Amino acid sequence: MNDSELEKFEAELRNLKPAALPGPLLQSLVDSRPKLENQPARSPRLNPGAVKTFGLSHWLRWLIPATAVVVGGMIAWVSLRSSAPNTLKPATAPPSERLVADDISVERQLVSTYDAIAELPTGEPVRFNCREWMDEVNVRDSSKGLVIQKRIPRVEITPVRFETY
Amino acid sequence: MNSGSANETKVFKDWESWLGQHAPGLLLYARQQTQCEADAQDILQESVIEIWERQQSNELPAPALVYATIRRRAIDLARSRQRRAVREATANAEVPAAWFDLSLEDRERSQLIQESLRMLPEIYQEVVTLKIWGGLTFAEISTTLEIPANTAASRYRYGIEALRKTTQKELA
Repeated sequence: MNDSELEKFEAELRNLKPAALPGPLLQSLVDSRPKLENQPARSPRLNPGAVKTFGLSHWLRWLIPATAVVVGGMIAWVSLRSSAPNTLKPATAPPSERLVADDISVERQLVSTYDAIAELPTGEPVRFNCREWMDEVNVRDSSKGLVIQKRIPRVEITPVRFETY
Repeated sequence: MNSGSANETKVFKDWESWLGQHAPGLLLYARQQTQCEADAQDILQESVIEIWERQQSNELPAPALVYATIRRRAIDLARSRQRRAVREATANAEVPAAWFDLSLEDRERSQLIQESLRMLPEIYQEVVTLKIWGGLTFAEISTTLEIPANTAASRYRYGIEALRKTTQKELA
């Protein structure tokens, strides 16, 4: 096809007009144009749905950076709090330096024993056997040479019937 | 009538004039890019509204931008359709809308060109449509289709020749 034939065929095609829009679609497109009244040039209004979307995007535009700032601040605050005790308390024993007891003993030592006699409100005599004990708890950590000793006094009172005695 | 309402009236008339000039070509292109008439009309309307929103001014939209938006939305729509076979079966069952004005005297020729155009591979079909009925330059077609301008020109030439051969063969 030479150029003249091409131009002739192009002209023939251009004479063929695309079909017109259906009435409802055309009306819908006419209505979709932006309104000038009450609206600056930079923010065209199309329809209520478009206005709603614009408002939401407007808020989101501010909400997202604000949320990022708040979250960033919280992360910084939490990290500062978690790092502060480590710097302020270097003498605190780490978990590996805790006491590991390899020997625990409980000893009971009888300190004294004696009898006591009392009377009930009815006049009946009652005899008690009293014993004073000293309980001693020893916790040892041989690897560190530590001994923790705890002594606790204890009184044991046992009623004794005269018949038994 | 104050200046604001006068300006509004002018924009309204300009917009109607713009639609009268470009909307038929845009709908033709949307019909070629979609599988059914409803999709074509939806995409055309959504594209025009999207352009108005993006433009942020009351200036009339550039036709090339609307064509590019129609193309992008048609591609997105095709990708979103998961059950392609069902869609094609539905589209095939539907009587296709007339692409051209059939009120002209040469109705048979209009239908013949529509069928010939429909049979063209899509890459040629869209370039011919954008050039002839969209009135775009090769530079604008290049931007719209995201292809080099030379490619657009060569596709146009091939498409026109193929279209002419097909119509002549049918008329012979």
